Amino acid sequence: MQTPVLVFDHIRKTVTTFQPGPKLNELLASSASVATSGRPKKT
Amino acid sequence: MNIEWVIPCRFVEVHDNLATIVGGGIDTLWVPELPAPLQIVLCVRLTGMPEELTEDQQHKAVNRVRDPSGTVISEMSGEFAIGVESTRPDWLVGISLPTAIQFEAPEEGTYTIDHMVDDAEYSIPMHVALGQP
Repeated sequence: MQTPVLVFDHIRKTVTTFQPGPKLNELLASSASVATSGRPKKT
Repeated sequence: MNIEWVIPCRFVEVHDNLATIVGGGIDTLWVPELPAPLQIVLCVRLTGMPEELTEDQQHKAVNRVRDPSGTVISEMSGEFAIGVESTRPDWLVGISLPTAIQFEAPEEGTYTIDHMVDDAEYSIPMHVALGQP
């Protein structure tokens, strides 16, 4: 089954539909932010 | 149609309608400076009756971003169609969808991401923090 991937780009004002594949994760790999759940404990 | 859940995550892929989610449960994005362009991957689980999820039926997906004061800073929509095989004709069917959003955060605080499919709606909070975790 083919599941579409909708990318809502609020910065460029576009909505793009991709077919499954690595493109989505490649597209998002350039983010400068660090994603966490809360503040991780220092080890 | 119902949105069962929306999981912000680092990575998702869907094969045979089963999602592999890595780093699920993101609620905070740490940025080195503001304003900051942000990117979030979401896995969305939809359920509906078999006649609602057919290949010839278009659904409207809307994504809205609200700033820490609740003001809508952006809203966008797109359409998609998916056909799902039901186990029994009168049983609910479900579909897992990878989705992504990109937006610019002008300030620190808690943003809200509203995801809508047809008449169903689901909201998730997303904290944006300046600095390192």
